[in-house]
Amino acid sequence: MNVRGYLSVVGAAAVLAGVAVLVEPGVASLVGLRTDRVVVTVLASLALLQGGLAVSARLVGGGRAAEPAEVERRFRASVPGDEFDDRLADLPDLRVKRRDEERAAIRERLEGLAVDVLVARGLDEDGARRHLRSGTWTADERAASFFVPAADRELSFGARLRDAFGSDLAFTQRARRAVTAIAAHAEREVPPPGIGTHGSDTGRDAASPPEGVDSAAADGGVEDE
Amino acid sequence: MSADTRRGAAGVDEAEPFDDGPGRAALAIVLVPGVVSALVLLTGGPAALAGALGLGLLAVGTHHGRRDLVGGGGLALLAGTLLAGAFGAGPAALLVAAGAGLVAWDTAEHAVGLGEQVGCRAATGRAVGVHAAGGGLLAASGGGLAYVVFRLVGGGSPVALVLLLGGAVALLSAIRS
Amino acid sequence: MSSPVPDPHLGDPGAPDRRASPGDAIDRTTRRWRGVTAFALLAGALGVLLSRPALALAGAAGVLFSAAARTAGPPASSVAVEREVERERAEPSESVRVTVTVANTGDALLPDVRVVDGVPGALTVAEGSPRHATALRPGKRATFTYVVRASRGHHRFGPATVLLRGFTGAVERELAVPAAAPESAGERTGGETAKETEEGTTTGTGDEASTTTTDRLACAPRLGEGQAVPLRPQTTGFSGRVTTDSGGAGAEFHSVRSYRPGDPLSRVDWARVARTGEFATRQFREERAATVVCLLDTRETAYCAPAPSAPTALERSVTAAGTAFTSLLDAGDRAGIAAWGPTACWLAPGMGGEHRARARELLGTHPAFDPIPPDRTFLPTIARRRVERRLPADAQVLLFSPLADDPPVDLARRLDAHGHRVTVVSTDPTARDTAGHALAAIERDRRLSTLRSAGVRVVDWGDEPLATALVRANQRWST
Repeated sequence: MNVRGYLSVVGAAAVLAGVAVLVEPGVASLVGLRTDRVVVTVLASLALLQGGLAVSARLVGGGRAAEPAEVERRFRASVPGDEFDDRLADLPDLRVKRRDEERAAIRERLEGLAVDVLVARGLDEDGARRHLRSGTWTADERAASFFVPAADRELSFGARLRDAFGSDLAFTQRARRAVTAIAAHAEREVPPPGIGTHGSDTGRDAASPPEGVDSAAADGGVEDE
Repeated sequence: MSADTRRGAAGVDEAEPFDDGPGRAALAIVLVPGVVSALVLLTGGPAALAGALGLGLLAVGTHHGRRDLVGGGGLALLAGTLLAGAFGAGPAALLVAAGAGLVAWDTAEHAVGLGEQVGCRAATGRAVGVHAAGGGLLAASGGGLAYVVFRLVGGGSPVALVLLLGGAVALLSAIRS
Repeated sequence: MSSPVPDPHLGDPGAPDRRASPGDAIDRTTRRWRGVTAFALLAGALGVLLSRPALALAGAAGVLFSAAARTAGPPASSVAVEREVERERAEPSESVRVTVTVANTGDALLPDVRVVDGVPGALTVAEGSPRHATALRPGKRATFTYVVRASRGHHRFGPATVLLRGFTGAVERELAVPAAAPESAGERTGGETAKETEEGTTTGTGDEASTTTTDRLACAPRLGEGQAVPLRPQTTGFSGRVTTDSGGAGAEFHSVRSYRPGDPLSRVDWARVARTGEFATRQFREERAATVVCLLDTRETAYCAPAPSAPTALERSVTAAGTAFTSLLDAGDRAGIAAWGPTACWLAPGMGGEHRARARELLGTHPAFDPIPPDRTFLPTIARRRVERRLPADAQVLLFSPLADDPPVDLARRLDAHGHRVTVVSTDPTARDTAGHALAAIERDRRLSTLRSAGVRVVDWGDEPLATALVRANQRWST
């Protein structure tokens, strides 16, 4: 007989004995029980403890009832890009090593796309990568810093500490800004970044003044911004 | 570009979403035993406050489908019963207050759970009513039995109480495991 | 799946969103009495400590009750469900009434019965509720009814989810009960057969048994309603032969050349003869009927949408394919339909009224174009070869795909390389509200560019009507 059965028998016997004593007080002396205050207090405290545990379990665990699916509406379709948002959201739950791998994978994917987009705007691949690595491809600082290798980033000590110990919020924010910046380039809402010395004319910075126009404010059109 | 403006030939999803609140009848059914309990508690001095609080929480919780408020309401009613007992209310009154409070909480929690699974647009009045009636019957018979036992027992010795309580705890532990 | 975090509910048999299957019930303990148990224990302990016998007694009674409630097992599960769907076929947006009856087939009282009917995933409920709660004595039945709005597809109702509880509600049993056809009035055997009427619902009669069904609803919309679509082989760059011999009504005048002996006299430009005395022959461009296959991307990724409740890309693709199909047939070309996805579908190019009817039925109700995403595995190479094998050698391809991932790009290029002119009609399923969504939009944009630079024409179809998108595309192609 296991613990469960043992407890059941003891419990049932105790209840019956208690009822018997209640009905006929003389039975207690027959059974020979002590009516110490101590025993009573101990048992009562045990009951209190049980009660407390039950309360906490109820509050935390909650009941389990079936949750039927919502059949009144059509099924929920997935939106393209949902898995990327899930990946960003799941980062804090990963172990450190896995998280670093995930971050690297996300960075690689975004960098590949950024290069494609910049190449479509007229840059060559090396120039595009150079711009990305040096952060000169967008005016948004946080987006710009996303592709800059950590060693080259000019960060305060505190920021480095935060990065080292995985502030996922910062990484996620920079990733999101980077996506926005890439989208701006894809939609041609911003001028393409200035090109290197062996670029072609098509990559000329649209913001730079046309030749022949005198503008003291211009500081060398094709320089990095 | 607003994604909501995509209306293809397949049409807009016009269905009303599932409304998971308790039905209209639930509140009325819960208030009956709730008011009974609160009224009885009025006789117990400060317990009246607990009774009013409990009734209020139950009503609001049932209306909005909040299980936590409903639980708080039941707790308040039962605690009010304890208070009333401490301030010397008779056993009959205590039994009625506790029983009615228990039935009110049970019905309200049942209605909230029903709302979560079946919703308020379905016809749930009959289900809640049957449950309340069953609960009321159970509480009445249980309370009657307890009253009879108490009358028979009179004072009762600590030994008996300890045995009873210890036995009940042991049984509960056995069953929970 | 890209999510690296394991699903905490995987393997948990009692998880709230896990469904039972027919013959396999799920029992869950609701733990709703835990709070009361806790309170009873506390009260009892307090009673003992303070020497209040009444309190201790009450506490013990509460605990005993809780123990009793816990020992009660799950309720008996003898429940039957009948369903009657008003019609088997409907037009889009029509209302179809569904009547469900729940019966207690055992001999024990079921004090707490909750039913959620298995409404097909692609249908929406327009009126009433597909859910119900009641208590049933042995032999008693309860009926409720609701109305669904028909939409394209062959919809199948699933088993009804029935939740049973005892009086204390400590244990809940979930059953999946497939619905049976309602018995006709004459076949009902003895015992209590009174039907309850619930607030405003009516019981169904068995009279129209011939047109009602138990578990399906089919809807095949008419193709291309009222839209004249400028989608002709000529506009997709097809140029026919130039000839002197043919040319009846509808032949397009091409040019004039000098007369050669043997040219048919009916083709001599007599106006010129009268004017200049010169004999010249008119030439016509022969419009040869083209063969076009509308190929739809029906893989799981094609069921995406710009919002969770918006029409899916597949739905829009089917609409576009139907419109294109009728336009092609109206213009005298031969059109066919094919599916590129886990379920195959092939309608060889043809013409005629019967062909149109078959296409309408196919696009409406064929499993390949089911409105619900497939869960079968998809083998890309086999699917592509299957399509390539059946494509007539001179067929052009209209590929309908949202281009939400890379495989359709490969398919289009391969088909193009095989000698079939490919035009892609791509509905835009992207949103811009989150980073992931914007990212997917950029990636899709890149795919369009890749295709265009490979010489494949792409129609990017967003919110505007399809005709507008096609006109815009035509303008771009002809400049």
